[in-house]
Amino acid sequence: MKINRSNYEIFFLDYFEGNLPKEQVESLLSFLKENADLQEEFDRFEIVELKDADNLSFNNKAALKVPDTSLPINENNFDWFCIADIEKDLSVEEEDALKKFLGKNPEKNKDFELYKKTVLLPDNDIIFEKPQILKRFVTSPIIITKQLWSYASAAAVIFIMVGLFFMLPKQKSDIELAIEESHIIETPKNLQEEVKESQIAETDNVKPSLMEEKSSIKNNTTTPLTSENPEILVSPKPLLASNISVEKDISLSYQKQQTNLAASSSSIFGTSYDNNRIISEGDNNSMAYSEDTSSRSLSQFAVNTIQSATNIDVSAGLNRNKMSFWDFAGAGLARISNITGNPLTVQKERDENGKIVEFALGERFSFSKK
Amino acid sequence: MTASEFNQCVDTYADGVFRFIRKNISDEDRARDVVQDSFEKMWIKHADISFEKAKSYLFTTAYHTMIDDIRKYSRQTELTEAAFNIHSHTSEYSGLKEILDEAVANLPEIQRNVILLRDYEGYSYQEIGEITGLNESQVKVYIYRARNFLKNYIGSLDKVI
Repeated sequence: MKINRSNYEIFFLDYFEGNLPKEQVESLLSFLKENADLQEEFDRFEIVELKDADNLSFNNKAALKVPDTSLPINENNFDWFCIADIEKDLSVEEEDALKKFLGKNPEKNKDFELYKKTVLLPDNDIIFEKPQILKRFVTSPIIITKQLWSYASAAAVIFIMVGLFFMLPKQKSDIELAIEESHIIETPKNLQEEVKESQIAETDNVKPSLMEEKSSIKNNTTTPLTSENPEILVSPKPLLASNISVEKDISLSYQKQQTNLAASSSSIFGTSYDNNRIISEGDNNSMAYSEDTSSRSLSQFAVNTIQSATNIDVSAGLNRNKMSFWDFAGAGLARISNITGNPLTVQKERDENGKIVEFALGERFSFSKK
Repeated sequence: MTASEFNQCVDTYADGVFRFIRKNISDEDRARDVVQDSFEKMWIKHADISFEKAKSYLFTTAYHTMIDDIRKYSRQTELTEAAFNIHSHTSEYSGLKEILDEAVANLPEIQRNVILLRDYEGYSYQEIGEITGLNESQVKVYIYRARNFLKNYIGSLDKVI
């Protein structure tokens, strides 16, 4: 290795320690002549030896030693036995030995009493003020009885649905539009009578194939309206109250039959009703008979409606036959959260049977079932 | 752990955790922050924590949060604690409690923590070990040293009172 300005310290050190070979000593000296500015550093270089290292010692070795905790008690392990007594770590035999030792050495009683005083007691003056800020709800969950639980859940659903009603953009259904239009365009009396007469005469002539192609309502509460048989407009059977709007629209549709008769009727009958069951069809253009309506229920309808409105799957509760108003309330809140842009966390605690026993809105409010 | 159980933990343990932290951090606001952080961390994990283990989890979290806080504010803490201790020394003692408080404040950090957990909360050696990350033998040694220190401290001042 040739000496230069980046490694000269190594040569200096080796030189002063006597480890530098003779040929390199000459190189070092010639280097110093060429770099006169380093001469002063070379002259000041000296080996510092820590000559006092041997005099350093740790004076408290006793504190590091593990006390001999075996009996008998003596001067060296007395402290350990005192502390072990406070900690209730002593056996009956060791406790007796300690008592005897204190009896024989009364001057040690003071030390023993001092050890007893080292037991710290909680400072009850130190309290965490306003612990409510740590809680997830400002108020404790509202505990309500089983009976009130049902009312509370229903009230929650109504409240949330009313909220949704006002928050959602107003969108009139086809049936509502049809009703409004029917008010504007009155059906001529003679036309209505003509319709009724032809309906009575032609009821039995309805072709099944046409019904399959277009739409129908179960139990013949209404009869499908098609462009092929525009004369068959009203069911011969009395219409239910819920079907009044349909009847009106049928009259309207008759007037519009040359334009969009089929489309109008199919949209109206997209959801139809009877006394006890609700038929919900996903495809408005295909109004075939629903064969499994007996298995449909109000809950199923509610699930479909909420899911279509909120895109939230609430059918899990229904599938396990544990659907509750709280499930609907949760879905409604989720929808409100989507609309407002403010995330609302909804937590539902269920018991082992899957029933909701606690319903929390956000982090501040909750209901708990008693 | 449900939200109700979590809130029950707040009622039951908030004061205890605060006392534990307050004995290590003289700044009350910082101590409150540590408690709040600890409960916040427990809430994040509340679904995975059983109610029975909540106290242990809480104190473990509080202990580590406190250590982080002390390290973060180490320089400020030294100054504050120094001032606090000087002030304490100039106070007149009205009883054993004040002397013990001062003695505890003068304990090495780890010894102070183990003896606070032992006496304030009644934790076993094993539980203290789980909270502080020490083994049971180490916990025993630190408790032994802490009590020995406290005994000598109050013993030396016994003549003054």
